[in-house]
Amino acid sequence: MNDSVTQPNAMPKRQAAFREDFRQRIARFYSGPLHVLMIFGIGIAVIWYSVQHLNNPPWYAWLVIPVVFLVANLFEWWIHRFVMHRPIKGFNNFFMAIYTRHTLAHHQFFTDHEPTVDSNRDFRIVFFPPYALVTFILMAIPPTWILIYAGLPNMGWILMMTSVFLYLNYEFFHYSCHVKDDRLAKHIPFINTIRRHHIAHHDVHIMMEKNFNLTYPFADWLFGTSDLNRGVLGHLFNGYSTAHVKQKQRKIVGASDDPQAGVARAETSPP
Amino acid sequence: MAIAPKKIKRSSASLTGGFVVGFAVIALVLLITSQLGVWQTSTRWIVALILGGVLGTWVRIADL
Repeated sequence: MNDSVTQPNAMPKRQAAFREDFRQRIARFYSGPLHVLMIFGIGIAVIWYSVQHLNNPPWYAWLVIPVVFLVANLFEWWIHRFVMHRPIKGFNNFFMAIYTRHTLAHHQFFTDHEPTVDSNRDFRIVFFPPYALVTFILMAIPPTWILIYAGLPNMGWILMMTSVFLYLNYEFFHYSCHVKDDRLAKHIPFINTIRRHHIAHHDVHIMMEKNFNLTYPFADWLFGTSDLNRGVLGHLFNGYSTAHVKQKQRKIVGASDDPQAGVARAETSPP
Repeated sequence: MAIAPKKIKRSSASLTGGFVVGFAVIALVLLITSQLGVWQTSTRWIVALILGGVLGTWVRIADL
């Protein structure tokens, strides 16, 4: 296993300038720990409430868990690839705001040269705002409601608690990708895999095309959007290894300080 | 001479988001206290409104 998953170069000037400007714009009353506490507090409260409604679930009710895992994994891949990295106009700028916040802010703040936070005020650009979790919970209510009123209440509540768990899983893994000290993270299965996978995604050369999963890189393997060339188990347990990174990848821009960063240009081989 | 801090206009997303979070917290507090069977209904509402109001307002002033 390699000791580092970051590029050895110093932070690009463009990134340093963006960081300085962004930090000046963080509101005075913002608190990183309160931001995280709010997300996990709401999430754990919903999970607790769902568990209270379980009543001797039959064995088949638990089959909801792998189904939700699969759907959530595909959804995470889809929204990251086709909403967070694509400027979609209309809808009262709802999708454009997501694109701006992610591609034009998160990816400028974190690159593969410097992908880590410096203080807990940087949590502002790592974690989603708490209303994203509330939106996700609202999206999980209709299928939960349908299952409950179809006479399958245990399946409904398992669906709700699994959905919220996976949202918290996403936030925790994403934070693990951007945490400064990786002495622990690099030894934990799945977390070490997603940290390398996601930091590679922050390379402006591949960010529009590769590595969209943020929990388990299953959909990236399934749809061929991973930077690795190996099987599904190899993807899930890859860790920090770069032994299977594809040698020929689509080249999108020239340099991190390129003002056209993120604009697709041509198919080329790596230098 | 010290550089004046930039005047930042809060985003409309944090306003909508503040209301969304505030209402969600109110609903959650009411559901959980009801599930636990603690407090009278009026107390539950007071706690829910205070918590929802504070957290919703924080989302707005923190410009999340």
